[in-house]
Amino acid sequence: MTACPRCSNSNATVFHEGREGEELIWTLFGCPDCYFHWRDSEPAESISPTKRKAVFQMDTSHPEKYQLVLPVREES
Amino acid sequence: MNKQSELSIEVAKKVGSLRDFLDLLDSKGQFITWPEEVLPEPDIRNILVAAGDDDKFGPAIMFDKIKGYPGKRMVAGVHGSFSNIAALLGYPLGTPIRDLFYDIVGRWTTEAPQLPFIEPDKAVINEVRIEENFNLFSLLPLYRINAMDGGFYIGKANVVSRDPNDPDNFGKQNVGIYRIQPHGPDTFTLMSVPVHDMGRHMLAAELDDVPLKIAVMLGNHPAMAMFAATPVGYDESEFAYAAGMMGAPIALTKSANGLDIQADGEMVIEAEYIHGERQYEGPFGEFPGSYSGVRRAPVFKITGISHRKDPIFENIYIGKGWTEHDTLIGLNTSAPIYAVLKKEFPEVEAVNALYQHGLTGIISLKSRFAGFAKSVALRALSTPHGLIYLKNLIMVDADVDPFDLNQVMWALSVRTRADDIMVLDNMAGIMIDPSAVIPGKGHHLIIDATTHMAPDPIGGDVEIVRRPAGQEIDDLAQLIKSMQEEARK
Ligand SMILES: [Zn+2]
Repeated sequence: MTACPRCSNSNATVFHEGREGEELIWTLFGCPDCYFHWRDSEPAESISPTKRKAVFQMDTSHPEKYQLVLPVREES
Repeated sequence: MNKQSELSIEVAKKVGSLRDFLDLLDSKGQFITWPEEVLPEPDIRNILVAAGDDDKFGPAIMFDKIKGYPGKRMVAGVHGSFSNIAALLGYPLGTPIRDLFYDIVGRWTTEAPQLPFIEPDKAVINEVRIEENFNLFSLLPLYRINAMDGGFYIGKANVVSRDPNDPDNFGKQNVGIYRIQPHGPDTFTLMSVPVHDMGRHMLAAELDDVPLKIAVMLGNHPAMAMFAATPVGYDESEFAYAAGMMGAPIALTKSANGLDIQADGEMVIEAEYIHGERQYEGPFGEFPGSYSGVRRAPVFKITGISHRKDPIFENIYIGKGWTEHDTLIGLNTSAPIYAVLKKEFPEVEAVNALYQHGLTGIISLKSRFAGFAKSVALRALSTPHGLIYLKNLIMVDADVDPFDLNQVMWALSVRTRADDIMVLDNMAGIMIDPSAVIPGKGHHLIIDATTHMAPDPIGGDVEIVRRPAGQEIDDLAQLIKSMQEEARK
């Protein structure tokens, strides 16, 4: 398990490893909490929690802060 | 009927797929293969931004040495310049945008579209079939389009869905471009709001508790990519429009989950809507040039994938303009606005809605009396696209080419007064206009830059300098160019 650069939860897992022959070039991770995906070869502005602008960070404990694109029908 | 030339039909007959179009672009010097190894980030976006800046002649670019994705191919910029569009329509590179606009307007028809059906077992898209162990992240050479995007987006997919309550209706089958964010190895979100046809299909499926199956087509016929982003009627087929515009066949087949898809596409991802599920989606650098924030979007689960051997993943650069998105949809945004207006106001000459999907538009017309242009402008705001997109609208006379901004600026400079400006506040707007106080609401601004006419007492009778024009001037311009080339040697 790996820490997510966006929501700081620690549940991210490896989705794919980019290889050239035997050589590992990068590892691609995905976060099951905020659905951020990243590659460890990316520039710091995208994947470093300290370099990322605060406005792009997420708090998954408050889903109501994020608008629904399509309403979910209430069960009657 | 489609009013296209013989030459353009000859060209169209040779273009049945993305690969055919890349060959055509290659023959005209509008296609390059990037010679060096690239990292998915930031190399691909850097190269595509640089190429996209040239809206007149920018080439399509193929990447086949993406580090960590050996053997995978990705192409972007296929619709990246007006010369690429000109090539598709059978015109020389560098053809003026205004000429391309009139050409597309003349081809705006769904009459007698040629849509031959190929049996699935003979369709090249089915060369390779995957039924299990899906992983989008290893299948496609995905990359982050803009630095702060929430994921690795698929930005140019054509998504086919059918009205779940009328599944046999070909017309109500919708093909649209919706941004797709791969979420799990076999799941993705799809950004569609209730006003989209696709959004309507999702809501209907949930309401009646019926399944909604979709086909995500990648690497499509270049005309399909243009029409998937075009606002056509709910019961009109984008396939029919695309084939109608080309005046040549676009072959269809059936996906394994029962939808009509292109037989010669690069890949189709079949998926089913997960009712009631919403997952975080975004941000994504969108066409206004800003990020749309994180929202909770509907989710789909992959049920099958077919692709050609050695498939080409076609994607797009989108963000702060100019980008391929602007060229891809610009003329197809302008033409339907023109078509609606022209029926009621034959005085309308041309519509330029190239800017940010029509957030700013320019309409030229033969004005009949004082205030006429303002009324035509108001009608433009009630066209399907104008309703929420035409935020700023500039009206000019027929002596101004709306596609030539030097001429539009001239009209603004010499033909406007304070009372030529109308601001309509608290109107419908697009959700992702970064200047909106309330997303989805905003203003419409009309600037009437047409000349003043009777009964206005002054302004219309000024003597405009007659600018020499015609063949003689064109020949002189050509002569001067060649003299200049000689002088540079
Ligand atoms: Zn996360």
